[in-house]
Amino acid sequence: MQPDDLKDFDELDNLVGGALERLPPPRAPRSLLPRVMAALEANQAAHRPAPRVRPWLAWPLAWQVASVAVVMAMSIGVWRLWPHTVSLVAWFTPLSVAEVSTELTSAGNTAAAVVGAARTVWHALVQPLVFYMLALVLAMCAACAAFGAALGRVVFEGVAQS
Amino acid sequence: MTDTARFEAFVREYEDMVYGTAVRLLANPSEAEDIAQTAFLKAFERFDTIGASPAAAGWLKTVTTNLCLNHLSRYRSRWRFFSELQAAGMDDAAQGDHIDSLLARGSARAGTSVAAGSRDDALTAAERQEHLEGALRALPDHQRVPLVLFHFEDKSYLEIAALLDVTLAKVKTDIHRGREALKQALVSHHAAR
Repeated sequence: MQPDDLKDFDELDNLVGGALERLPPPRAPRSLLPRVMAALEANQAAHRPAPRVRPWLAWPLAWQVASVAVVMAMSIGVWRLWPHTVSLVAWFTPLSVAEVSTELTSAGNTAAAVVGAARTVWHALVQPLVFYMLALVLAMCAACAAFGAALGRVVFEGVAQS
Repeated sequence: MTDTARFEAFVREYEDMVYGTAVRLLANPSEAEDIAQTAFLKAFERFDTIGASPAAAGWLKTVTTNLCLNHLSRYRSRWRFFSELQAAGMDDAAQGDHIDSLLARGSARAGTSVAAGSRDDALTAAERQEHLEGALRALPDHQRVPLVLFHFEDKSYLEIAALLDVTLAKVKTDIHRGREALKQALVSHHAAR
């Protein structure tokens, strides 16, 4: 490098360097501190351990005895009240067995009618068009794949050339 | 004082420095805010050791710089062809025009309104500084980053070349071209007075 070039280089360095060094530092936006504290809180909440659930054998003895007593009381209660429960259920549902089976049969007939109607619609309307719809979907997939390959080539060739 | 309150005070003390480093390297305020948040979260992980350390500022600057350089190499290179491929093909004179047009169009980067060819005689030092800040942010990444690392982060040419994984000659060339572009911006702004 010639002496004149060096002199120009130094002058440029002094001119621009001096101007840059006199620049005041940019001020952080007011939103920075709240978002840092919010992100910190979210991180801490995500890493907080889940509440520990102890197995029954690790419970204190008093709790074990109490839980066994509650389960036994509930079992005895169900066993003693079962006949009354059955009669209550029968009182609320007055339908006899024959009526229930009739209801079930009519529901089955309705379901069969719906299935038959669906089958008719399939044969009459959908089945003739299935082949053409499949061909259209395949053509669209091929077009998307070709577009994606072309775009990728343009992007990465452009980056490689730069 | 709880840990959270101490950390909040820590963030208040260093937020300008961290954000300033990031925004000058990235030239994008929203990306700079993201990087600053990440840097402070990393600082919190080591808050026991660096919270009261005199080396906290240097540690934060190093982390912020590395995060910015990773961000630039990971995300910007994929989309460079939208803008910088066009700018990279320009010679220096055309680049000066490019910077002027970016300043006139993208004045939001510096937070001021800069009218090209303004004849306002009452320019203040603050306006000149804002103009220079805008010109710095308008530089392409490959010129702005080495310039910022040299003038604001006190890195040597060799250190910059190692950080950016480029040759020493490229660093010198890019810094020189960046200074030329800034000088053009300073001169054109002064001439517009």
